[in-house]
Amino acid sequence: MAGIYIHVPFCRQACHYCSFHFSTSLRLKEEMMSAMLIEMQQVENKPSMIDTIYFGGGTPSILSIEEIKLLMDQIYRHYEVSGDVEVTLEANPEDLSEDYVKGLRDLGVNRLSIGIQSFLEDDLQYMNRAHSAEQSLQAIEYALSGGIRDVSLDLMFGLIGSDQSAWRASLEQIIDLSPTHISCYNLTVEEQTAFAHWREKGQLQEVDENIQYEQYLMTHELLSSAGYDHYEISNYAKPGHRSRHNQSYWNSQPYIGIGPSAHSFNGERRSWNVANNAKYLKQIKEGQERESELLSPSDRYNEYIMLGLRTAKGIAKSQIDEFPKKMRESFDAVSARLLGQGVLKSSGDTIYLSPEQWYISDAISAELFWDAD
Amino acid sequence: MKKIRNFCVIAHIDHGKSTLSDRLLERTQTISQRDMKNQALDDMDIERERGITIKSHAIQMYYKHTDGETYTYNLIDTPGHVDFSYEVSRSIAACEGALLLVDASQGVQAQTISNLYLAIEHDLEIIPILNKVDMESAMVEEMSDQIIDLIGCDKEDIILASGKTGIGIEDILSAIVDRIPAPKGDPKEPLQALIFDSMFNSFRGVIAYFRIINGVINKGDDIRFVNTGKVYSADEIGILQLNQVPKNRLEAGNVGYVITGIKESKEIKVGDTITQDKNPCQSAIQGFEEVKPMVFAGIYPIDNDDFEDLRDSLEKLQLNDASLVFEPETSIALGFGFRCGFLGMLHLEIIQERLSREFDQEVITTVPNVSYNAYTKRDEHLIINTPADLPEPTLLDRVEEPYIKAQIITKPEYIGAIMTLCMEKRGELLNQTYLTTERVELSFDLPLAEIVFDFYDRLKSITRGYASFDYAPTDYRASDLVKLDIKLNGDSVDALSSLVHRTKADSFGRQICKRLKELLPRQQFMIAIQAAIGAKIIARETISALRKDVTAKCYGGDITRKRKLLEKQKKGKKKMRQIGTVQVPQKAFLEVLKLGDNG
Repeated sequence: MAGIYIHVPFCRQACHYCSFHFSTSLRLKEEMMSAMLIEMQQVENKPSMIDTIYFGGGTPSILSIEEIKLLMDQIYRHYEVSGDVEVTLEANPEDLSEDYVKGLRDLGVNRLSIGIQSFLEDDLQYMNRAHSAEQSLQAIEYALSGGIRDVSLDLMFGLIGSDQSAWRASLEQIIDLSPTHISCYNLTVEEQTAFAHWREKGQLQEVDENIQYEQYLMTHELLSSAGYDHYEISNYAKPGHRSRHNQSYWNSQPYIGIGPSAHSFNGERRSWNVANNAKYLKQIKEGQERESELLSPSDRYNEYIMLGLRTAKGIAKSQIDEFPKKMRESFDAVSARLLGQGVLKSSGDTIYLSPEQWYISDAISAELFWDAD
Repeated sequence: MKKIRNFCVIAHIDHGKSTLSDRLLERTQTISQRDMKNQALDDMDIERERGITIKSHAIQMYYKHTDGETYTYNLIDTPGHVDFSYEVSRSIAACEGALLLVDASQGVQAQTISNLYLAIEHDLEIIPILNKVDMESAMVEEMSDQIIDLIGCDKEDIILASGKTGIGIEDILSAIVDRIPAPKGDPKEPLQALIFDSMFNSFRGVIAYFRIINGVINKGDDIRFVNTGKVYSADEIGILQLNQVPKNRLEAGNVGYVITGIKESKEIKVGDTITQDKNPCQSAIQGFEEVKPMVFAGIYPIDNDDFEDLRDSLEKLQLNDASLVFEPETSIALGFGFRCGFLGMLHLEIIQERLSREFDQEVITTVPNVSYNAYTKRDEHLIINTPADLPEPTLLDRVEEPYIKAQIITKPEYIGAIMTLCMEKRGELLNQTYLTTERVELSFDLPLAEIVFDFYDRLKSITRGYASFDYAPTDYRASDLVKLDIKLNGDSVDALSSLVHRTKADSFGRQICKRLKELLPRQQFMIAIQAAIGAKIIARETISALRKDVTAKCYGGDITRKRKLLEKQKKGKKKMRQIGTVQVPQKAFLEVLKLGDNG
């Protein structure tokens, strides 16, 4: 089983927090379409079965139904696609209309992930989103009533405009809307974003870490008691509605990335396209090699730890046993200490972090990491 | 013997000693310009980088004088730092003359003065030289007056020179013949040769550098080292040019080297006398001392598994640095390591750096301390080289700490700041002498322990670098000392314990806690830092728990980048030591002492 990720590298405007690859100039859109179609066909060693398809970005909903159809058709032409394939498309509220949703549904899109981010006008402006809160509500209604099986809504917390009671109200509102899936992202100031630039100049207002942590806990509590399963640090799903595609990243399953900046993984090697539209077009035109790295046992071990500790699934001791002895021994020693300190938890074959501790999972991963030098 | 001249150069760091030496070597064609890496005499990397000569060396050159005769010059180089004053004194004792080199912009510094006094004590003929006279900032008149005040010479005696442009080099070379006396001594007397330095060569063993006072030494002689009493065969003797030049025989007055097959430099002691085993001299040359370490600190491997490697490395270092002493010790916090004795703080830093560069050993150095005398109520005398060894207060009668006499030379405008610093360091002003209107010498009586704790850095900062400093140990005196413990989450960290004067314990404890708060990274739990005397907590700081340490998104394109980021974080953690539940960075143990200007 494998996934296909299609990166649509265009946005109408740049959100101040976003570090993913995109361009706000649509000049190269036509050319980009054909390059991605070519790349889909050119992929070597195609996997035997495609289980998930994911349109991410950028803003995939910037594409017309016809353009999305071209991409879908090309996938079906060149790949074996599973009968119950999960097809996700990320959409911005301002792009969704009744017709557009219907068009997507007819193309086989059965999961719509909508970037709501906030129900508050001030927050949206602060983040430089291209839609209003009202547009969001309208878009959600189109999606929920449009016959799409799964609707996922994205929200962000740790924003300067939302205090505890405002965040609680947002959570209650989203619970009322009852989508099958919710992603709640704590604002992370990424490099090369407007927020990072402001922070450097000392102009970024930031929410106290303790308040952000409380918001994180509040999210966990409210969504859990509303029947959502907290299965990854930022992701919640009603039973049976987890994102299969995203889970494949965390389970180190193979995936194919199409489009600029997209990453592929074949179980041994990870490769990626250049994160620049013009360079990507040249790369495809000239048949240039992608950049890649062969994952050493230590790389795979470290990724297994890092990804496992972000999810409810945790780390399986039986999986650790598959790694070289020195890593196993190091894992045993460090995990024993962290278990003793009550940081890690253990149940049967599984060693995991409780959702409260996911909030510091990077620090804990680094402790368990194997240092190859 | 009449055609030999033995001399050294007395100068402050950066006053141009190495450059001037290079010019002398060039002018006498001892070394060609092409062969010359700048500053040929400093051949250790660390020396070159720090611009100071750590170990002394010697070199022979030949000078054809205007009188038509060719003279043999032995230039004996001297180390230029307070930590190495004994070695300086032995180099001086091997000479009849000294070139006093003073930077024409900077004037006389403390180090220069104390070495100058040593030279005068040994009756050396002083040739004063004002160096760097070509610089725009040179103040020839003023600095000449300073030198005249200092040694009572005539103005005409001062040679104006520039190592950079070569001005005055010829004058210096002929003044060496004209002014410095030839060695006295008798080749017919029994052999008496002064060891003024030694070095270790991994192929040839320890090489001793000596100056023959009386008698002769022949290749193959059985020679005896008077103070150690040991006898060896002089397998090879010779003179020192840029390389060693073997000879069959060396006579009184000359300078040379001997190789005996000795493998450890501690068997050859600087200041010892070499004589013939069959026909020994009546007495040893005066001035020999066992070199005593002044500062002690624990050195621990970051990883306990590297303990044996560390021992090997220290042993190898000791082969060519006999002043380094060490013995195994155990720390509750750090496991197995070594208590090491150093000549001073610079020596400590050099050893730490050499461990890292030459042996790839990253180590943790604990809070340094001086050596104390403790007397118990049962009148036992204990030497305390580590705070952990101090007996319980109930058993203790008294503790004595070492004192020094410190000389500081500075500009008058900094007297106030220096007085404040030295008084805060429990010092007493002994004397104040104006060398010139712009230069004053202060002497202080100070506890040695106080200069170990960030004295030198602060002196430099309060005087903007316009102070030079030298010290000599004086005596031990009873002192009201307490053991200050540092606790992390309730666990005492023995490696951070220190002995401090009771009156300073509170402020020292507070500052050490504050400093640790800056040095320790936040962790998943709160960290309490406490300073305690016995059971009494005198200071406390807390480091709040690490709340947020995760990125919200981690999808296909994020995994590689994120893994690499955490791998880097992991490398940082590797340089830390786990104490109880707390991770302590390697550098914290030494950095904690750099308390800043309020220390």
